[in-house]
Amino acid sequence: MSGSRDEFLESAFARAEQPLVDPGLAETVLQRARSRRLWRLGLGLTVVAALALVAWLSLGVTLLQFGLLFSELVTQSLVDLGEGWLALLLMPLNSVGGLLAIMTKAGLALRKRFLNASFGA
Amino acid sequence: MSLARNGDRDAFAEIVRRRQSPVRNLMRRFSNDPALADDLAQQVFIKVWLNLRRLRRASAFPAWLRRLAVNVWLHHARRNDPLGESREMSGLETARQDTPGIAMDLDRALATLPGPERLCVVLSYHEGMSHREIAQATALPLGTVKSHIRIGAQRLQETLSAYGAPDNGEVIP
Repeated sequence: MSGSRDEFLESAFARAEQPLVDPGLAETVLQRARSRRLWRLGLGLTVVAALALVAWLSLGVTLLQFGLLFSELVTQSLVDLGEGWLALLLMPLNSVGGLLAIMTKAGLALRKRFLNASFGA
Repeated sequence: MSLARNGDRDAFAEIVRRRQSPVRNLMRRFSNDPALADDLAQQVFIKVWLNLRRLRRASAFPAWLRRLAVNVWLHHARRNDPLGESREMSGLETARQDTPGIAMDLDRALATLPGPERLCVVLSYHEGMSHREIAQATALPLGTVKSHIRIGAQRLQETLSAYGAPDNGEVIP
C-alpha cells in the first residue's frame, strides 16, 4: 500500500528530475573500484601477516612441540625389527604413519567403490 | 547486463550511462549537495561493479540498484549523524546555484526536513516506493514511515508554497 500521494508534491518531484549525464563517470567509477580493491588487498595482506606474527609469537613454541611429538608418533615402529637394513627397508610400512596412510588409502578406495556401486544401481 | 556481470567494462559503462541520472537525482534529493550527491552516486556504481556477479536475474537490477543507493545514503547519513534524528540541514545555506528552478526549491525545502522524514518522503515521491517497501528498506516501523511521510509531505508543501514561483518562471500549481 503506497498511501495517497499529494499531487502537488508528485508534480514538484517529477519536474525537479533533471537529465544528469557525465560521460566520464564510468571511468571514474572503475578507477575508484580498482583503487579500492588494491587498498583492500593491501589491508588484507597486512592483517594476515600481523595475525601470522601474533600466532607465531604466542603459539610458535607449542606448535613446534606438537610437531615434534607428532613426528615421533608417526615414526614409531609397530614391530621391533632392531636397527638393521631390514628395519630401514620396512620402515615406511612398519610405522604408525604407514599404518595411518594405508588405512586412509583403504578407506578412500572403499568409499569410492561403494559410491560407484550406488550410482551404478 | 550479462556482459557487465562477466567484467565487460564497456557494458558496465553503458549501464552507468543509462542509470546515472536517476541515481544522481535521488542522491541530490537526499543530500541537497550536488558534489556530495555525485560522490555518493559513484559509490553506488562502485558497489554495482564489485557486486554485479551476485545478481542472478537481470530483471531485478532496477530494484537492486535502488536498494544499493538507499543503503549508501543510509550508511553515509549514519556515519555523519549518529543520532539520526538530531540534525536538520540548513537548506538555504547548502543549496547550490547550479541547480535550476524547481529542483533547487525542492532540494532546499527537503533540506529543512529532519533526516528520517526527508528519507521517507524522497523514497515515496521520488522513487514511488510503497510504505511497506520503505519500511523494509529503512528498517523503520511501518507506522513511523507513514507518519514521516504525512508530516514531511505537509511541511514540504508548506515550504514550497511559501517559495512561490521558482527562478525559471515556472509556477507550481
